[in-house]
Amino acid sequence: MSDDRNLLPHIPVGPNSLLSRRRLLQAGGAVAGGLALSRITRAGAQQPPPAPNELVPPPDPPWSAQGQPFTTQGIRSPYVEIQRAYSGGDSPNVTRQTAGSNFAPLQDLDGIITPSDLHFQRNHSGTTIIDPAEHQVLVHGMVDRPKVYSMDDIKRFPRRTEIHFLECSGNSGAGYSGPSPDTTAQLMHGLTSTSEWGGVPMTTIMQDVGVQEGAEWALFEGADASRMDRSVPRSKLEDDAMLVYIQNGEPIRPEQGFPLRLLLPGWEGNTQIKWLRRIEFGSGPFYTKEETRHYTDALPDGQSRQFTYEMEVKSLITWPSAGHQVPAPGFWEINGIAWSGFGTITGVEVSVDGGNSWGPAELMQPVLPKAHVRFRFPWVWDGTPRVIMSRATDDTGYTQPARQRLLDIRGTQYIYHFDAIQPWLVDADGAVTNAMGQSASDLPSDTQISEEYL
Amino acid sequence: MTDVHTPHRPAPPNALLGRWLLVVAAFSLLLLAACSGDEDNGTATSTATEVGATETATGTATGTATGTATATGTAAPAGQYSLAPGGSPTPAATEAAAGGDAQQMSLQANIGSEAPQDLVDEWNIDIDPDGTGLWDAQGSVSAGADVFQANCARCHGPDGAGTDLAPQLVLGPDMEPGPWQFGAPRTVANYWPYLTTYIDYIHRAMPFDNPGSLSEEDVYSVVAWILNQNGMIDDNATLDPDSIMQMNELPNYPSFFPCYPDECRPEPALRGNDQ
Repeated sequence: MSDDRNLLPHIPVGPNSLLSRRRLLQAGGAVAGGLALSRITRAGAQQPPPAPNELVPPPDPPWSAQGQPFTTQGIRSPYVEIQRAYSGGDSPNVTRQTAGSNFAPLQDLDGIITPSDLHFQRNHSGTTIIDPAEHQVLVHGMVDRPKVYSMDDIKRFPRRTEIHFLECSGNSGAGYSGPSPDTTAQLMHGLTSTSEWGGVPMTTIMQDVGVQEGAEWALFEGADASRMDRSVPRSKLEDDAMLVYIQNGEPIRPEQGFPLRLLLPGWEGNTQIKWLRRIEFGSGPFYTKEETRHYTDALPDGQSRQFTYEMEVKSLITWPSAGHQVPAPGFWEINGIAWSGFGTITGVEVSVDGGNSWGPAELMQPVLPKAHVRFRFPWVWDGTPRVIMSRATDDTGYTQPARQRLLDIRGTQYIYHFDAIQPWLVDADGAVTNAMGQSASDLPSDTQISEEYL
Repeated sequence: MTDVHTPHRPAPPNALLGRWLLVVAAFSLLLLAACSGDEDNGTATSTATEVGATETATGTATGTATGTATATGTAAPAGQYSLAPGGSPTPAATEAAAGGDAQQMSLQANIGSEAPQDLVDEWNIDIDPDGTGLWDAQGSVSAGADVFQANCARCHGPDGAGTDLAPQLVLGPDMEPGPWQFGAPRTVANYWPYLTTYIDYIHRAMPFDNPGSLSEEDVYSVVAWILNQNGMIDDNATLDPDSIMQMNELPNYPSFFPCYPDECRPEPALRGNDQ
């Protein structure tokens, strides 16, 4: 695998172009329809049709009339339907509505930044709404100066801004049991999002309270109903941890922990305590429920891994993906996202023939460590059934494995950290479904897919 | 810019430091230029400094921790910029130079308050595997049966067998407490490693719709009942700090192994994927 895979010749069509081209086609159809209608209305049936060479100025479309007044809050176009989907569905039960997952619509998003209102959620006991004027953050335990900070205090410290992904460690977990063919990118992998985060480095707080020698761990605890808590080793706190209160240029949203959360770039989302109210330094791990009963990884031999913090390298094609329709054979641009909690994505390869051959995708700028990276890959579809997939490699040299190789080691009870290659089936009619977990014999024979990817 | 970036400090604060100090410097010199009445000299100085500050900011933004962009030399190193030609040290520049970096300055600003002991006592709720945090109380299996039916059964089921709302808590007649077996449900009898964690969590977050409502005695009692239903303690057993610590390492305790600080992943067999 060479390092210059992202130095491909420039491809003069961006992923946005793809979308806008499709929209333009739709819009063009609407304009043409309006044109025909207005001719009948204005000119009447008696008037002869214009000569072929006569230039007819197009009528103004209705949206060129005077527009809407200013509003204090922005809105999406009524023609754009993108929304999260949560695990509780229509259940009226409070448990189902407050504990569980809310998936980001990956197949409808572009770029690397996730709009804050579409950022995924994993809550253990609902979203809590905190008055920042009343909020306090206590730092105590093995420190020289136990302190309590108001939010105004926290904001006085010198700040830092970084772009990082956040991912639930259970993201893509359907891969262990095998998803159904209609499982979309959103419901399969939507527990990951990338934001620009702003706040204070943990090292500043640690110096302010005087963390003692031997205080190798700290407990972080939220103010939510579950008092969600996790242990974090000092080495991570000294490396790149931050207490953040800014997300994409505004105060972080209640759903992401307003007014303050822990950010541990690249690590399991659940370690990055939201609604942070307490930090206690100690000599060892505190062995909370979320690092014993949950968020431990059970292997086929009955042993369980503990403190598996980094999220592994992962990628997926977001267009076309399950639920999409490839309109017709011909040129299309595949695009998707890749990320790694171990470091920086160095390359993404794409296969459009069931893994029989792979070609390098272009990584789009910016390519940042521990952040989503967007890739694109030109494709001329010949109209035959195809299994398309991507595999990413990071700067530790780790490449996403095929699903069966992952299951051989981890079994099906592992729950967390599923990072295998995601295959999508593009059928002859252009309909796209999830091929993972399907039997090769159930897929069209000319996909030539190897069982190891399914 | 190496003069500004003292080598013993970590890179990100240094990068911020360089940017911050130079912005301060540029701003100070702009003020000087505006006030000095020596327009030619002042304008020339402020322009040069602005260029330097801009380049430093660019270097920082692209993640160049050492701030090499300022090697162009248009910005004066820290400690010198306050003595720019035609000017005299401004209070802001002098304080910045004397105070070191922004982080150090903030630490000297005495931000925050000393933590009141009663706040620490109220919030310090975690119960640790060494027994720290356990209350001096006593719970019984019989009392726990009532606590469970009143607070837990509506989600976990009257026998603790679990429902679609909450997980199974009692293994049931066909399974014995012991190390977790592949495919088994995960209960206190066969998955949780520490009893202290179990107590901590129930006290911390249960019942789901009214967390913190159980008394200390209630928590010990309901845990006693669950242990009893799993065949782990007798009908007449009581739980208190001593008996809890005696059985704190639960049947599945030996099955856990840490992946920190020695990382277990990616597994060797998954490395070297055929490319």
